[in-house]
Amino acid sequence: MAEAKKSDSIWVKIQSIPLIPIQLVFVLLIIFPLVAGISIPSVPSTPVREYYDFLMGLPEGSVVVFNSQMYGWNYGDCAPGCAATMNLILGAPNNLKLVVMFVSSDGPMFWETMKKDFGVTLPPNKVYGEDYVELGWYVGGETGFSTLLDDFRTIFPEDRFGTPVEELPILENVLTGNDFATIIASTSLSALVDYEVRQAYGRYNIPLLFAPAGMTVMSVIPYYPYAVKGYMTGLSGAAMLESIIKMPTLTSKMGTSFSFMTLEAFVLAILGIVGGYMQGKEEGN
Amino acid sequence: MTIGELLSIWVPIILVIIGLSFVFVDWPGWRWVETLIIGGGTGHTVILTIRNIDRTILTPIGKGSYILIPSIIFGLLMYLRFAPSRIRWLQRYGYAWIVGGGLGLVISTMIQGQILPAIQESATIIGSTSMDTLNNVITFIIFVTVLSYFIFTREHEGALGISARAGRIFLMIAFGLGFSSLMMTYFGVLLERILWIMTNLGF
Repeated sequence: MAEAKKSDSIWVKIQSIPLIPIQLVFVLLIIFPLVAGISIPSVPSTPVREYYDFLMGLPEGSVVVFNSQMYGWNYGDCAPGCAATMNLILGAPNNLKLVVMFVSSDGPMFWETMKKDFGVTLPPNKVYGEDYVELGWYVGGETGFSTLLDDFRTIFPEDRFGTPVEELPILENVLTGNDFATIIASTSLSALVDYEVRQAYGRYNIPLLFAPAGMTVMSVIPYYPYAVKGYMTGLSGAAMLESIIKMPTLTSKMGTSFSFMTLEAFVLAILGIVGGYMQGKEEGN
Repeated sequence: MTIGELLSIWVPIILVIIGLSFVFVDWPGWRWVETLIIGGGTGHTVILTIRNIDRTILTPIGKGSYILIPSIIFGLLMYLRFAPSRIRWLQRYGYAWIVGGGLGLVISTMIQGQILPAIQESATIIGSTSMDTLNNVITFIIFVTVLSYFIFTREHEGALGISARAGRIFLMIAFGLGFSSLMMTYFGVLLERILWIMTNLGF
């Protein structure tokens, strides 16, 4: 970055601010609301509201599949959505059944971490195997996903702890994609969005919900609202869902910090755009 | 607190801080952490893959599901890319199986699940409410103008020029939104790590 001279205009000087102080202010802005306990209420967006309404509108005892692609790289953005959805489904008055499966081999490990970090536990009136089950990870990407829709038990003969599916009451009547009320996916992988729409919606007409990382939401929006009935985007979407279900956890705290970060990024982006434009104008470009 | 508990808190914290230090400087400590993550991740994946092959292929074959044997053969053929050139060509059968099967699966469902509904959605103008209709009209205009930007067989002049220019602006807005949503993910990941450090430090 070129050094600004004293005679340069304010716009040139703005372009020359070193990055390290900006990054440090950024980190302080994250820490400040967490330490000071500041909370900014979040207003749910329409897709988040629809995400909630769709799940609450499902028939009593419906089987909801949660397809998690949460792993190390996207954990910070996807985990809050997974935790908020799990709290919503397990506490739903329509007694929804939750079947969790994973896209990658490290999925189960990060699912455990998410439950610990966000304090997600099975409510006392829910039983593992009857209301909730964690299957393993499926191989083969789209081919594997397509196969599990055709014959669920070929891909998952047992849950991830080795219990045969025949011994799990929740999966008693789950044989094909026709037995799923909806599939929710938490992902930062655009390809997963596309193949779920192709296979689950295209072949089985299963309505879909998404809890994508921020970077993937642009891949989800084209399918909304015909195939995707609602979505909540990353950390901010999870904070909105928590405000609807009135179960504030770590996510709501993170949501406030996230708002501060976004605000600073927005101010910097505006300064950068205007500064660049003015500098160009002064230089006659 | 035992030494084991102390280490289980401080070692990850130090590793995360070294990892984040890349924002400021590229140094050997950061490269060591990067290598540690890649090595650890690869080791974990290899072990789980072996277990998975055992669970889904070898054990069922042992129980009499001999129909799974061809899948092992096609899988092994892919490793022949490391073999002498005399038999290397056989690897193509493994790839052909995967690519052919994948394409067949994708193309048939793409028309039904993606292309037809997307065209139908884009071409629907009258909505259930006036706001829906307005939304549909805007979507249709964006659809047509962006499409016109990619017409390269005629010069972008006159009506086509105006439409293509508008299409370019809409594309730029979409790319800007895409980039900002990418930043949202980075913010979320960074925030979670900082919060994790703070929690472990007792804040």
